[in-house]
Amino acid sequence: MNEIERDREVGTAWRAASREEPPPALDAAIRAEARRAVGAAPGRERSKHWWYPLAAAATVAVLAVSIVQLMPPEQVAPTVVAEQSAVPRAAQNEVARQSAGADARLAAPPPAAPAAPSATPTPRAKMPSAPPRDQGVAGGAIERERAAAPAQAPEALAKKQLAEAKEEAPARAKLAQPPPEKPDAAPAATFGGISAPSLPRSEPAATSTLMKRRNPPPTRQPAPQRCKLRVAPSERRKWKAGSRQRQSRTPTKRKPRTSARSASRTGSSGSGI
Amino acid sequence: MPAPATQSDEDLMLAYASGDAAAFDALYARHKGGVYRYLLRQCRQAGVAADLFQDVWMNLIRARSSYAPTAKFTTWLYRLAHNRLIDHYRASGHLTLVSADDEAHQDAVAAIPAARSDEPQSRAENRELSERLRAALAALPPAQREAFLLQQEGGLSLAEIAELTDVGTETVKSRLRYAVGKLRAELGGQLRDLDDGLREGLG
Repeated sequence: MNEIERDREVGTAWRAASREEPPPALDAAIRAEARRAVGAAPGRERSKHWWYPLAAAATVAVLAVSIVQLMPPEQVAPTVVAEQSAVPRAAQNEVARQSAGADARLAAPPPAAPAAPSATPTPRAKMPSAPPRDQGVAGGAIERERAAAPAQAPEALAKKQLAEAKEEAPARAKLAQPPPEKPDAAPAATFGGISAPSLPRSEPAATSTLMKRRNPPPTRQPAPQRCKLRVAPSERRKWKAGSRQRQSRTPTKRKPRTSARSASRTGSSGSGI
Repeated sequence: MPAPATQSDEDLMLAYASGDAAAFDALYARHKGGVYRYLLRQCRQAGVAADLFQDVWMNLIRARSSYAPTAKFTTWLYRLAHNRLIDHYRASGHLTLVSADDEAHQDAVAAIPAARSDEPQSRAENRELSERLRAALAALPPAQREAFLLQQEGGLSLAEIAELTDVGTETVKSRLRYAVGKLRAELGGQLRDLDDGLREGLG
């Protein structure tokens, strides 16, 4: 047996003879201390900072609500509608101004035509009431108009309306001045350079014929067609009012009625503008 | 993640440093006996050994975050125990020597598991042999005893013992040679009988 084997033999004998263990109570105390040292620190940390994620979530929620409240309710759609209706509105305002000037001229004169002021407010009240209808059309058919009509359609429409208003202004002035002998023949003499006999004023077919001549079919587009439909009834009413005024035997009875209607329409138009 | 039983000491210590209390349990179960016996053989008082033992493990718990696996875990652990022993020696002012009638020694002898055979004569012989072996170890010089205990209880190599005790490897080798030789000379022919009897007692 060599020395190394003897050393191993001594070691084995020692390990077999030395079997002491620490007391169980000491084991439990050390293990508890080890668990407390490891588990307590993260626990304290967790209890100390438990509100961090909650505070972050609350901050995000408050910021989101604030941003939503600060933002205007609809930003994109009204902008599109405004772009679409800006030029027609301007044109309609111009037309309204033109017609207002004509109405003023109509309303000013004649003692011989007392019903004229009562008849003229009708288009004035009618014109401002047009924008809501146009807005509805524009709001509902923006995409269709963009697809169908070229981008310059509203401007062309406005120019046409202005031209029509300028053309109609002398005719209205003539309509407002009733001829002394033949009241029915005077307005029918000329209207926009068109001979009167070809225009039976009370029939829609004649009006559509007139509008066809003003707006030839090859250049007609959807938006101008709406303009034609919008303008034609007012003119028809004006013409009718003029003819009634001239044909009426008791014009004083209609005056308060039409003035009340015009007043109510004016009020609505004021809000509409 | 492997089971704690199959993990190395270093992995267990790192796991415990990262918050795994079960890793400490496995580590403690592996080394509690060796550290306790090392301290018990050196200070020779069970109560003092228990206090030192607790201090060593508390130091380990406190130093868990600074542990770096640059060396074996057992080297680090027994260095903690060695340093605590030095502090104890400095505080007490002298090295206590074990004696046959020391109370702690008697407790340690009584803690030896009895042989499985119920023969009173065999059990008395084994207890006598164990007592003589402990007495022979206690008679060794402290440096030789420490080197022997670090090798047998801690399982440290010569280099690790040399590093821990701040001496050269040859010095450690010499100390171990002297220690084993004295034990053998003290026990004589009874060493083999002691070994066989203890093996029988442990089953």
